[in-house]
Amino acid sequence: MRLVRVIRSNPLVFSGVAIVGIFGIVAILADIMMPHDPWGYGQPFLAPSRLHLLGTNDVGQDIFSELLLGSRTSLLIGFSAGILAVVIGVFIGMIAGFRGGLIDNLLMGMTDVVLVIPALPLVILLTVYVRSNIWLIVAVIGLVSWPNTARVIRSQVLTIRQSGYVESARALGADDGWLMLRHILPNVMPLILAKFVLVVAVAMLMEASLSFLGLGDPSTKSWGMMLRYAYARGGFVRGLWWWYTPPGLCIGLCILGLMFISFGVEAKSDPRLKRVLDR
Amino acid sequence: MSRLLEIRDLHVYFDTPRGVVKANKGVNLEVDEARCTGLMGESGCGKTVLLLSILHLQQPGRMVKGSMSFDGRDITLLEEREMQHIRGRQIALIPQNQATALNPSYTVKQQLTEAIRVRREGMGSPMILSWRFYRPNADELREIEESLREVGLDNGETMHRLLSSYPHQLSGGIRQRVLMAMALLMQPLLVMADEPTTALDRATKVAVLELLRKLRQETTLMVVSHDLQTIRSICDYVAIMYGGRIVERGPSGEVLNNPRHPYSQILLSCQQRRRGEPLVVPSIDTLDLINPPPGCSFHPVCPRAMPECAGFEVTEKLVGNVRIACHLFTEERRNC
Repeated sequence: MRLVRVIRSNPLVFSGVAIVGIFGIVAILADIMMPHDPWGYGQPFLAPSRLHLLGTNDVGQDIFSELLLGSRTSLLIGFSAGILAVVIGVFIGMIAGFRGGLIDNLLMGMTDVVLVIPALPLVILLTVYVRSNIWLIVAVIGLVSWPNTARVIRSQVLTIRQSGYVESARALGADDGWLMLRHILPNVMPLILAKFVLVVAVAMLMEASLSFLGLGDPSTKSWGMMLRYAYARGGFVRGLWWWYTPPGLCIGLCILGLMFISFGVEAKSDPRLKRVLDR
Repeated sequence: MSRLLEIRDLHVYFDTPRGVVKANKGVNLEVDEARCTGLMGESGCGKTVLLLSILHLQQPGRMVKGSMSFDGRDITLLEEREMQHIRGRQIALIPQNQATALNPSYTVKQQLTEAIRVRREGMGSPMILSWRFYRPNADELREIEESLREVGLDNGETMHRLLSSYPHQLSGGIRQRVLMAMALLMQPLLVMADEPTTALDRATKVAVLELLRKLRQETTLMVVSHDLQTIRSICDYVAIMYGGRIVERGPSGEVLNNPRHPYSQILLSCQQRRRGEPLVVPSIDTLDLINPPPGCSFHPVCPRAMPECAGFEVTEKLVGNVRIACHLFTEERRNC
């Protein structure tokens, strides 16, 4: 209920949720909405028409259908990686911030190590040894993008740990698990949401880059793969804008929506930031 | 009358980069059942540290020496697990700062439900993972409303609005009373109120005092305050603290009307000063808790200091019904 109110009261978050929501619905209902089989061959290089809304590609696959099905892969990778990264980041950040001392030092040292691992080269390296599939990409993106979240959560937990309500809950007899779950977690929730959305955006971009480089999973349709084929099979050279523009536009729009949500939520949780954004 | 809480020679130290801060050094105090004990002193004299130490919440301070027993049980070295059973359900704390003591993410109803659930089921019950955790059932709701009425928030129609309010939507006085209701819901043997009337306006303060006076009939109360009016109107036993030590304690009438320790005299005269009278400042700020002066900590600023004040540690002496830690009275006894 409160979430609905927050979304409706903030135009930034509202538009973000609307954009991402539409893409989400498309991704779920892609099978029903596709006018053609995106894997079926037909007449190549057709211009947009009534039959093929966005024309066909070099092997005659319907680009509009590809686009719908591609949203599923892109969002799936984005959200899975986001969930993985946030779960790890929140867990480590909470423990480090709440426990402090040696545990904090160890965990933050580990975080710093992971922070400097470059995600893209790592995935490129891994795909040399392992056949690329989307879960490998999800795992790698998830496992390298949690440090940022962990650091932010830790610093927030450090201040909340000292707050009066944690102290008074302790005086009521609360143990550590209770404090973390019932008092600290709800108060870092907006931050978690903002960070989650950012990781999703980064993961989607990374998926697109990998696919564009030819390191994606060739057995799936994704926006990155579409861009790759449009580039490799002469779509750009011939100026077939209906081939290369839509996937790029979809990636951009989706990330814009996610950023809107992230900014809005972050502003909501930090009034000082809101003033800056309003300016 | 049975003894509920007994503190013997309690020392609590804080390790800081500048040295060891001796926040409590040799506190002796007894709290009798069905009595209201007041703890008075300036900021920084160790009142709050003493309260928190009773609950073992003095971290990062450490208890160096001394013993405490509660309800006939030695709680000095109790494990964290066991302390969690004592906190709240046996000794409840009404925290110092009402502005931050309630969680901003939960409504009044949710926080009071939490108190009930903690009392009934304790920690570690799978209940804490349930989504329905903060939804009170009819019985619990009735109990919550009852507790709010008990603290004077019984304005019928607005009860519903109060229950669904977040802490920032409430005034300081109401927050203070919600905190009291929360402590009462735990049905503790001892209620400790840390500065219950500070930061409240006059009218609210009077109402809260009225409430504490009513509470005093029902439970054992321990009130920490630097405000004379608060202590005078509700306490029957008063302890005055200076520099981490209780300098004078006894029945409130005797201590407040006829203070004998030089520090008590200055402190009370400050509070009772009439307009136009010169202000005598006890100047506690000059007291260095890391390297306290030898002997009695008060002697550097004491108007009646004697040579032996710097030489010997003071111990409590019983003078009439009052226990005083001052060399002046050691002298008297010696002369007798």
